Amino acid sequence: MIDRLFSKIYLALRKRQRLTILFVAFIFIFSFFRLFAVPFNNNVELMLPDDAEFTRSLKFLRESNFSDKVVLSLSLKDADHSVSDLLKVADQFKKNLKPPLVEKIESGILEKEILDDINQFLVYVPQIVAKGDLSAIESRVTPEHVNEKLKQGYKNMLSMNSMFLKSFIENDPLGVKIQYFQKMKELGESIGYKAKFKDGHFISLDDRHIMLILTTPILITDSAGARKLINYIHAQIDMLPEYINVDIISGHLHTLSNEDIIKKDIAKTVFAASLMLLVLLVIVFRSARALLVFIIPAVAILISMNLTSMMIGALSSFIVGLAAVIAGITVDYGIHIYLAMHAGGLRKVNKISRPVMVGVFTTMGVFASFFFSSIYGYQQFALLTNLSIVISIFFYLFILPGLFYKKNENIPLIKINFRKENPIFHDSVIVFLWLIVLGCFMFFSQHSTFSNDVRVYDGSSEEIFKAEDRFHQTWGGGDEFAMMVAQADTLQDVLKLNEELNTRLKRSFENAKVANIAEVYPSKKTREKNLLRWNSLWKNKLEGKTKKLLKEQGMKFGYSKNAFKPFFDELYNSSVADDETKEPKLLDKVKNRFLQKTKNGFYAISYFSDKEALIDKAQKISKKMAGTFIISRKNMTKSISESVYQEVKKLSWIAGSLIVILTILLLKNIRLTLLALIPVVTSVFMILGGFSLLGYALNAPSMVAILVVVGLCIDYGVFMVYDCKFKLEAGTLLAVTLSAMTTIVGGSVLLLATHPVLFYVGVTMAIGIFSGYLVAAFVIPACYRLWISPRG
Amino acid sequence: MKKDRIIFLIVFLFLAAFRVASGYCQKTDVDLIKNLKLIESKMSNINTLTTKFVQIKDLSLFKQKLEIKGSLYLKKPSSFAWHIDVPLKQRIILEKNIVKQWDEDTNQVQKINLDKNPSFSIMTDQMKRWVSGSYLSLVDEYEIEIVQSSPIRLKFTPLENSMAFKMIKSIVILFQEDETYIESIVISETNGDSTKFQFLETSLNVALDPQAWKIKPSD
Repeated sequence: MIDRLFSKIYLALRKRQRLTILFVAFIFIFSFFRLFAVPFNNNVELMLPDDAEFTRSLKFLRESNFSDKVVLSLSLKDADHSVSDLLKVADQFKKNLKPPLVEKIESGILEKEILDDINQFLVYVPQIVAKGDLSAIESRVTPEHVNEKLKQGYKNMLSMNSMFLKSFIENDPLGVKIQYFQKMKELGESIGYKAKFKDGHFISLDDRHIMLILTTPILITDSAGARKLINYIHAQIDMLPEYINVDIISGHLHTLSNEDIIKKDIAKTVFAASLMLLVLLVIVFRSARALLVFIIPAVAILISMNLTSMMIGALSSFIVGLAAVIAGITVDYGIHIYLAMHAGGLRKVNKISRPVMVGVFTTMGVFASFFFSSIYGYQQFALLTNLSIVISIFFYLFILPGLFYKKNENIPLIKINFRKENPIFHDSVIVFLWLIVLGCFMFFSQHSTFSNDVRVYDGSSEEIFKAEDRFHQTWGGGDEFAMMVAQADTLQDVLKLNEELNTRLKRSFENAKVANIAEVYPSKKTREKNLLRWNSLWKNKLEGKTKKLLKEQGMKFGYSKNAFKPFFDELYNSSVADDETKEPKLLDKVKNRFLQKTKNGFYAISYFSDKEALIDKAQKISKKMAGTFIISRKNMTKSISESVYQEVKKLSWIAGSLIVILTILLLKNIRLTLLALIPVVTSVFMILGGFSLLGYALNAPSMVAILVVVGLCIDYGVFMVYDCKFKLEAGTLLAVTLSAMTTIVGGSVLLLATHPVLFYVGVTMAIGIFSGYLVAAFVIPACYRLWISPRG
Repeated sequence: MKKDRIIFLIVFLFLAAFRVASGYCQKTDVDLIKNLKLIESKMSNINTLTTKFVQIKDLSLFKQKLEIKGSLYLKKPSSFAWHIDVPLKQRIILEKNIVKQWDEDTNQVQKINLDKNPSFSIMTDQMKRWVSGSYLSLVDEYEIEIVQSSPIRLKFTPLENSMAFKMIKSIVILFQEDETYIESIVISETNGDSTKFQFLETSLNVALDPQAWKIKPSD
């Protein structure tokens, strides 16, 4: 039926050949120019599972200010220069970094202001003393405790740093406020960075490094902006003296490095593919017009991109890149048709059209399985790929033969034939060897593992990772932290929610550390309540008693009459500020890390160690508290990998089932179907076993590549089965060999790729296609002869 | 014409005055650096130092002045010991970045990492500089003045951008008659408090008593 249909359509189009060509040319030109209007979406989220929790985590990371930072670690290269030289250079360097690319530079705390800042904070403390803490303070106003504190103060005044400590004794003789400063200090140190301060700079403990934290408006995902920013920073670094080295720590570098590496890898692949095309044109096809076979998939993808964008809007650039490669598979059908033309003109094309269509439907079936994915990008991929295949096959079957019809050159082609008389190619030997190898690889495939690490997608250069290692060695902060986020529309709402979250986390985590700003910055309402309680307690109960005790006990150590006047002067001076700018400056140092303002509201962030036990506890809290969620790199990695793995597993089942069903339906013969599936089954086990033998773990890119291999191998199987059954004599073996060769070369080139994703795709393609081709070329004919047609 | 002459005269006088002033400043700076270098070079020959001291603190916190007596030990490059005998036995021993602190009242040894205690770090660093004569490194933080030339008396006034600016009004260092070592250091604070160190029985480049580096006297 397919043969008749092909003839009918072909003849109809041939009658209107000029019109058809004009129409195709018009579509092509229209698609080419419309391409500039096709909207693209670079958002990686399109490629991730549609999971509410996961989407929220990504949204948080995108909106928060974690990703707009560039950290610079300036260090001394030699021992001849000192930290003073480094400080001078850093100061000048800071002046050179200017907007618009660098909006703000955080370099450290000015020591000369720290005492004023601490004193300002001590005045604020009554607002954060909770009810329970106030009772503890009350219980400490005893002669014994006051005596102890004043003795400690006296001893401090004998010590070398008495000049710094005097202010604390005057302003907080009972030590009731200083513990809150300690909490501030702990919050500042909670991320685990090791730094000291000198002249307003973060200095490493070895006095050899200075850290600068730059805030930039450039998003990590904006590759053009990131390039501008990094080039700008490099230009400033180039002006530094030779004895200074600068390590840049930034997500922008990863974006650029990945982009550069992928570009280089693609250039390598394109070069190899072009070389292959040249070899095919010169050695096999010996005709410039054969170039059309390779141009058609490109035209098809161009048209299908336009059609897809008309149907669903913006296209993912990842998907377009991937689909363009996959659509290249259709070149295999072109090769079959071209060789059939040469073998016997339209008659042979007519004959080959049937297996071509079976191949097309099964391959489309593989890619159609992506329609069942919950990942939007995969659905787009299914549509784009299938459209490309349909358009390509239309051109190959109905336009290409017409172009060759008038000038059938009848150029002799290379012929290949694996003779069965050769003992090496004896059918039983072939099948036996195949079964042994397949058995071995089936055994090894049981040991194959799946990697959960999404870092496999990061192919940044080694130098970037080395700089990050150096940074963590110097500054610490390499520990992994999870974040629990409270989210609300207003600052006060988020602070209130954060208070409750902090209480629950502290209770649930027991001894495990959790850093939360609530203890030093609760909501305004809570601060007002605290302040009322503080004032009431001191006015009604403690002020008089404390004055008396300080006087009595102070006399023993010779304290003057007005020694603690500053404490009593400031006792009721605290007031809840309406304006954030009137709040203690010390709070600003931690607010930036614990509170985030976004266009959609406010986030309050708690930090804790990214351990499974703590994540479980936090998840229980999160389930009970609306407006809270957890960001854990480990958890995210696990859930992405798990979702992607489940997704690919589901798609594999669907694709597998579709292939079998479609092959049975199209071949209408169980035995032939089983033969056609031999390359598919073999290649899958060879890949699984091969990965296991090579010590590689399977990952999402390699799993997707397996589906592509399956799509190609079923074609090889179908063509070889048809060739065996119908004696096509349309150059099928040569076509399968050429198709496999082009794909193997393309895949093998990826083995040279630096980017891990491309590398794993390369390994999968090389193993899968090579094994699939070998069994298609040798095992299917052998099995056919042994099983279906023993007498030939 | 007359007006032009007056303007010319004013400009000339201004330039001349500027030239004289800058020449004077340069001369002063050169003299100062020369003297500081000389002091540093003399004191750089000191590898070990032991001296008794009397520290008188006049603090508004106390009714009377605090008189502290003790000994100081210095061994280059980075060992420093501060013993107080009166009014309360206390010892502070600094080796590299670790400070050990003991007092007879608690009889406990407290270890402080200077990297984690900036105030202690700044004070020990400053104290080491004052007693070891490393004054050239202070020119970025203080305005230095030679108040008296024989014996040398130096006055250090913190510059506005320095850490000490808000706390210290001035520091005056007086050298002994033979200018081999410091006789006294007077620190005047911005809040009116003051501290005077008087150094007595100073011995330079002598073998130090190993007991000086023991944090507990009984050890």
